[in-house]
Amino acid sequence: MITQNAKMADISIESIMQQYSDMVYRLAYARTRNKADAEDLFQEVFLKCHKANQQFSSEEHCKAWLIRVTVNLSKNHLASAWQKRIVLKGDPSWNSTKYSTSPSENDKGEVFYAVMKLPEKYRIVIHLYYYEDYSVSEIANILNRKDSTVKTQLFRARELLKQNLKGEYDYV
Amino acid sequence: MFRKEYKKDFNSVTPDINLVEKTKQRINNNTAKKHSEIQKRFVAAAVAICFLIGVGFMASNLIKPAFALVAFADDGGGQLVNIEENTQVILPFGKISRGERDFYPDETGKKVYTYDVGFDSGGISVKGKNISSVKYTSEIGEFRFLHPIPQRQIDAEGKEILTTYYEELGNKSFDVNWIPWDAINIVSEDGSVDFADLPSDNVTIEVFFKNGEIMIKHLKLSFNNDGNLIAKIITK
Repeated sequence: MITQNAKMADISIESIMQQYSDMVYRLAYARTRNKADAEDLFQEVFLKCHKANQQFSSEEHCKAWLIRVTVNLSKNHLASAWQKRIVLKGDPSWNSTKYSTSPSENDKGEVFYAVMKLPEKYRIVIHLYYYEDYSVSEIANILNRKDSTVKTQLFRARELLKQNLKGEYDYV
Repeated sequence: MFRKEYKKDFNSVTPDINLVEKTKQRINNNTAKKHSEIQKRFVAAAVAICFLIGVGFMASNLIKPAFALVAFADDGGGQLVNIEENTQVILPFGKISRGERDFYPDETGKKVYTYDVGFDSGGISVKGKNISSVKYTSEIGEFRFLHPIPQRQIDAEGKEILTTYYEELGNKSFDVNWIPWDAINIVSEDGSVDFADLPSDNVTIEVFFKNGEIMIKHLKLSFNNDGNLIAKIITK
């Protein structure tokens, strides 16, 4: 745990990895929907963090930086995946048996698969809102988007989820 | 509840321990390589420094303060682009783009249509010797400065930002992010858009040197047809 009292400038990459490995990996997976790409992305993010020798003023600064870098680097992955003719972005034909390679995914519920079927721009806001508990304004800040854009994306994502999910869910 | 179910499902998505170890190994290899290169360069640099110290000592009283403007992308700070006098340069950040059209219902249920907007984040900075602080002023954009010393103050943002030099951060002390909210709003609104017509911003950079001298540069930031951010130093 990185404490608030610790001088963030002195925090080692090992400490950052210890605290944010799961967060970065989950975000990478939510973006790429693919274990191999998520693992590549994971390594790239922390190597970038190390090479950049980034100074962080707080835990939130560190976390937001890692999220932004993960999202930015994942654009390259999505682009190269497209070049390899693996259509991921908004592909309604995506299904777990075709793309999932993580053995732990067998125990996932319908919510997981419904989110994974969403276009990538919706998956990221859903993940930051529902998993990382960021507010609309915070997501807009991190992703450099307008609040209204994030609101639109959350709204559209929920609409698609309602269509795809059998169960009744409260989307608060 | 959706949030609870989503968290439950995603809690088991974790990186393999092998992946974490492999990443640490790559970082360590990178560090070792960097150190090795540094050692080789150290000997050559030491010889050069001895010579330069002599020349530099004599010239120090004759050289006027100077600074350079640079731009950086926010994805790791690797790519720095110099913003030279009398040239127009495409910056490594700031590309603006328009995505899909979508809507959300407002309080009355009316559909509000907006476009997704992409904006590659990054910012500008100043490189130079004996700089004590830098003040950035934007006419229509906004700056963000993530304060490096948590005990002193929290992050700052606004049309005017003063950054102060910190020994432990070196040149990074003066890094500020720039965000063109006006342009982002226009691109997100319903209707056609021409990136080249988006409002340009005039930025003033005042550099305060330790000897009390102040130097000022004016920067014009605008977008081209492709949405790339263009910078040009302007003379006033």
